Parts: sequence; C-alpha cells; structure tokens
Amino acid sequence: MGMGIHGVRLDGHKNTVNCTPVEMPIPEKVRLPLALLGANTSTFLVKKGDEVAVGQPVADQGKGIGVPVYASVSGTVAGIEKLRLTSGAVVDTLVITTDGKQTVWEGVKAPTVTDRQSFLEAVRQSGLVGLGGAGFPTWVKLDAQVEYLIINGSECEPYCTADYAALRDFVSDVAEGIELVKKYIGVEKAVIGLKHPPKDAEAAFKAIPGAQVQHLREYYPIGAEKMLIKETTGRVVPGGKLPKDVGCIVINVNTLAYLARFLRTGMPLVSRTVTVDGSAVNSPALINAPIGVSVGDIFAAAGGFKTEPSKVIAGGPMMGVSLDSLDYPLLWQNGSFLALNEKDAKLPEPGACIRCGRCVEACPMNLMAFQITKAYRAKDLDTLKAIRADLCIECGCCAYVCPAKRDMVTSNKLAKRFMADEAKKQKEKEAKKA
Amino acid sequence: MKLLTVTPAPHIRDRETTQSIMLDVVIALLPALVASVVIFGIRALVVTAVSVAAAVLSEFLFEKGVKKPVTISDLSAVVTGLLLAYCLPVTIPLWIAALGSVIAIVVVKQLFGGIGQNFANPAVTARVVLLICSFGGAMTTWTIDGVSAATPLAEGAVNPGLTALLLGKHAGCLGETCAAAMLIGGIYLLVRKVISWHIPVAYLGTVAVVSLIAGQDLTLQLLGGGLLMGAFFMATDYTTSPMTKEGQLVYGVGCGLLTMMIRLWGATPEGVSYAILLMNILTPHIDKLTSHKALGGGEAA
Repeated sequence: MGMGIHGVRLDGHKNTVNCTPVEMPIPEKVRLPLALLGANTSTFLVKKGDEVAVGQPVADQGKGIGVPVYASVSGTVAGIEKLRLTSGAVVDTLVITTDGKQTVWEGVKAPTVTDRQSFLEAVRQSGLVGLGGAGFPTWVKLDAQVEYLIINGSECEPYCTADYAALRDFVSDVAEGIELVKKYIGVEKAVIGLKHPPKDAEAAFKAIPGAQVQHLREYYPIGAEKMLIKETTGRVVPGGKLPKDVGCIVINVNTLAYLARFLRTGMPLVSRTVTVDGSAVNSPALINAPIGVSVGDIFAAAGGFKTEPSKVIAGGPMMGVSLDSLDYPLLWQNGSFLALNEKDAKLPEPGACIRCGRCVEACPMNLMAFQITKAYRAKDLDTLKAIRADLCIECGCCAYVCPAKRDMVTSNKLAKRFMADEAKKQKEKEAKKA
Repeated sequence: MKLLTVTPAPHIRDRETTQSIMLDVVIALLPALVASVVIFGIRALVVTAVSVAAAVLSEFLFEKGVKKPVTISDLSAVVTGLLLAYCLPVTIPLWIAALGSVIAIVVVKQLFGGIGQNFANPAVTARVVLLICSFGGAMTTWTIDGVSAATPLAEGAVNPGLTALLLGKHAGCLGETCAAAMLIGGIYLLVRKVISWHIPVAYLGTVAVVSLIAGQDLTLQLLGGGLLMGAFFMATDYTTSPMTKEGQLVYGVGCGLLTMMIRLWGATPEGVSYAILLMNILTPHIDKLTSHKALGGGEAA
C-alpha cells in the first residue's frame, strides 16, 4: 500500500527487436547544433569553406560541463545557421555539406588513459552524452565517488530498441565499458538492470568481478534514474539531490558501449543507432545514422511512410517530444523517432477530474498528481511546495491512466517552471535587501 | 506536406475513459434490475426508467440552461438515476422518483460544479432528502407480492433466512433486496478494476465485526438491508470517497461504524445512506491525513 507497485504496464510495441541496424546512405548535409542542455559556452573551431573529416572537432568543449562537438561526415562547412530546438532555445548550428567519402580525420587516435583524471578527460573529449535520452555529459556523471555503478538496460519506453540492439550486438563493448568505469572511477559494485535481455547478454556480465545482473520488474518507468536506483539498491534519492549523493551512478548500456569503443579507437560520438517506428512508417527499422542528419532522411532510409505522418516524435511515446518538422537534426541523445498516422496523432479531449485516484496510484514518485494541476492553476506556491510538485519526473504515467484524459504532465511542467521562477524572484529580492 | 501535430507528451493514453467506467457501473447494476422486476413486477422497471430519464434530462436541461458543455454522454447521470431508483420502494409514486433524480442531479451535483465537484453522493443525498420529506410514508411503505410487509432489518421482523436474503424474497427497496444480484455486480466492478477492494472490504468487515461483538444476526446485518449496494456502489463513488488506498480503508471502516451505530441505536432501522453521507463530508479531511509523501520528499522545499 502506498509504496506498492506504482507506474503503469504498457504494451511494448518492440517491433524492431529482431532488426539488424542498417547503415543509412550518406546524406547531403548534416547540422550540428552547439548547445547541450541550453548552457553551452563552446565556440566553433571551423568556418565557412573549411574542409572537415569524420571525427574532427568542430566546436571546443567550452566551459562548465560542456563537451566538444565532432564532424559526423566528411565534407565542407557550408556555414552557420540558427536552429530552434524543441526546448524553444535558438542556437548556432554548423551546416556541413558532405563529399560522400566519409574520410576519417587524421587526428583520430586512441587516448592514453592511465588514471582517473586522464580517464575523465578522455570521456570528456569523446563528446559522449547520455544516450538513453537525457543527453547529460557522461564525464560529469562519472566524476563521482560512489559505491554502485548501475547499468540501465531497461529501455522501458514502448517501441525503443536501440539499447536492446547494443546488448545483443555489442555486449562485449558494454561489459568492457563497465570494467573501465569500475577500474578508473573506482566503483566496487555494478548492478546491470535488464528486462527481457537477449540471450548471451547475461553471461557476458557474469565474468565481471563485483557485477550482478538484476532482472527488472515489468513496469514503466522502471528505467527512470530514481526508480532504477530504488529497484536495484533500495536507496531513495532525496529531492534536489543527485544519484551520486546516495552513492550511485546510473549509466545507459549504449553509452557504456560507446565509451569502450572510444577508448579503443579514439573515434568520438559521431553516429548512433536509432529506432524508427510508428503507425505511419512502412517498415519499422533500426538505422545507424550520423549525428546531425535530418529526421526526414532517417525515415526515408528506413523505407519511408505508409501514410502521411501526422505526428513525429523524438524519443518514446511516453516522454518523447513531438517535432514540428521532419527537417530536424538527429541529436546525440535521440534513440528513436516515431511517425504516427492521423488517428494515433490525435489526443483525446480532456474532461472533468472525477477523483478516481488512478493518477495517485500510478505516480512512481508518490505524488498527488491531481493536486498539482489545481494548485498550479491557483498559482498556490505554498501548496505546490508542500506537495513537492518540484519532484515530478514528467514520466507521463498520470496523464496516461487518467480516464478524463487530463493533461496533468503539462501542468506539472508548468508548475515546476513557476516554482523555479518564484524561487529566483525570491532570491533576487533578498539580494536587493542585502 | 501538411503541418505536423505538436502536442505535449505522453502521446499514448490508456483506453479507459470516464464513459467506459460509468458504463461498467451500469452493467454491474443490471443484475439487480432484472432481480427487481422478477421480485416486484414490471413496475420496478417503470420506476427505474422514470428515475434514470429524469436524471439524464435534468442534467441535460441544467447544462443547456447555464450554457455549460452537455456531459450526459459520460453516463454518470444514468448511474445516479439507477442508484436512486434502487433506493425506492416499488410503490413509490413516479413523480417522487423523478423529483429525487432532479434533486440528485441539479442540487447535489450540478450546483456544486458537475461531475467530480460534488462533495456528497447525489443518489445517497437525494435518498436522504426523500426519506426526511417522507411524502406520507411513500418512502417507507414496503410491499412484497402486493402485500404490505416490514423490511428484514425493521424492529420485530424475523430473519427470512439466507436463501431468501440472497434471492431477495422479502420486502425492501428495488435494488437492495436481492443480495446475490448486488454481489454479482460488486464482483464485476472488482474484476474490471473499476473499484478496488479497500472500501467494500473495510465497510463490510467493520459491519461484520461490530455485529458479532453486539450479538447481532450476521447474515441479516450483511444481507438484509442496503449494505451491499452501499458498500459496492455508493461508498465507492470516486468523487466523494478518498483518493488514496489508505484513506479508503479509513473511510470504509468509518462507514461501517456509523452504519452499525445507527442500526443499533438510531431511530431508523437502516443506516447505510446516513453513514455514507457523513463519511462523504469527512472525505476531504481523510484525504488530507492520508496524502502520499513524495519519494525523496523529506521536508518541504
């Protein structure tokens, strides 16, 4: 009771589990935006007319938590244009027209890693960000002293299979990545959280000292960081704290596989596997695509559309962002693109809350979801604080189960923004006084 | 190419709707309708039809009148009409059945803002209003096979026996008499996950325990009155019962205690409606006391 099984059971729609990733044809151009997490301070290292090769740095790592950006194709820099990200932020974006040769940059070579410091520096130079969807710089995440390394192989969003493919095709890379992190960061225990793993995957992890495989329960969002930590270690991340504060690092399987490959080859993050699926596509597929290629090109490479798409989603159907155009570049953290037909694109009309309590039962964070909407509409900051609206992880369970089809996630997001803004205002006020 | 639809996540939704939930409740109430026609004759169907029609029509007219979106298709008014009809004796004048529905829908539900906003269960409250108004005893005149009779819970009445209670071969309201029909409906709601076990089990369990302690006839207390309908269909009304499972247990126990207090010490033989109505009023407080604590919430930010 209360702490029972929250979350929801979803149909998997894992139509692409048996697909072999297909290399997509080299596109005419790619676009590489500067900003990561909206706080990028890096600058471009190349200018219009410069020749670039695959793996060549085109933007420096900047300050703070930034990572460098690498050319994903060989070709010529066509210029810098503005791109509006789904967050609304407008960022400078490098446009490279390809020459079709995919020449590898002569500077690509395996880094020398001898200790923790050189390891973290190498991870930063790899350009690696969380490939599970969040896109948080991996080197920042790894820069911690923890007891547990938790490997996220749950891939709990419907349709998505890129992590499954990594476990199936590159399980030795994943295992190598675990060993590298354990060795250089100094983590003793590793827990690999899996759900219906490919056969043989488990065996590859058994050989790692201090590692154990945990079969995860069947619910969404078991792959959410806080849920996974609780499932594997029983620990609860306090509000406003990070996994490392409870002795955990959570890292995605694909991220680990890339990390291992980078340390072997020195080839930074320039391409990735994405799932292409949804009711409007001809044939669901796994595509290996260069970063920055347009989403439309990826769909075309997968066999195009069965019917005109009405909605295109970057990510899964529960947390993914719907794009306003197929002319949007593949970003590092995008693991799937879904195209939905007109019927599936339409969301039902919301009605009045009937207080059925389904949202309360479904919330994995144990929040009283229905109250957040009410308090936000009344701009009731005290109530929002008391019910901890700030802890919502935006997983979508409340809106999914709501029989009145209320869009609680949006009010939760707005409530969080409102709380953050008010906190900022309060701080400014206090600063003025002092 | 046409423009893409941009909506916030999640992009998929569960199939269940307010309408599908209410339809399940209607289905769960059908065995009792069949039983009431068998026991009391075709007038039971007429009373039910009038009550349902009045409920739906008054919701429609009210919403039209105040220029609100018409919500009769969510079927909640149908459920209210059915539940109210099931609280009436078969001999009830039809205008009283209709009046009860109007009170339930207009006064108790719509004036408080419509579905999800009322603090008291419309059918229960309307029943209580009709009982208090009395209408020359129209609400408490019971017949079976055309002959006046007392309900099994009335003072001095004898237990008609388990079989008679289950099949409803005794005087009583339309829907309450046949305990078997109510049990079938309740189990259907549980299987369909429209309701959870918490309220009915806490409610029925409390009544059973208090009955045993007070030396009452257990089968009579559980099956002889409106308890099953109350526990499965009325106390479980989403809007007027607590949101959390913990709260629902508290609420169920409260309903059980109040029911038995009224039955044992009250001036009326039956206490289910009054008990539920009183617990409806306590629901916001139970909600407050049993509110979930956020995972990792600790002290408020």
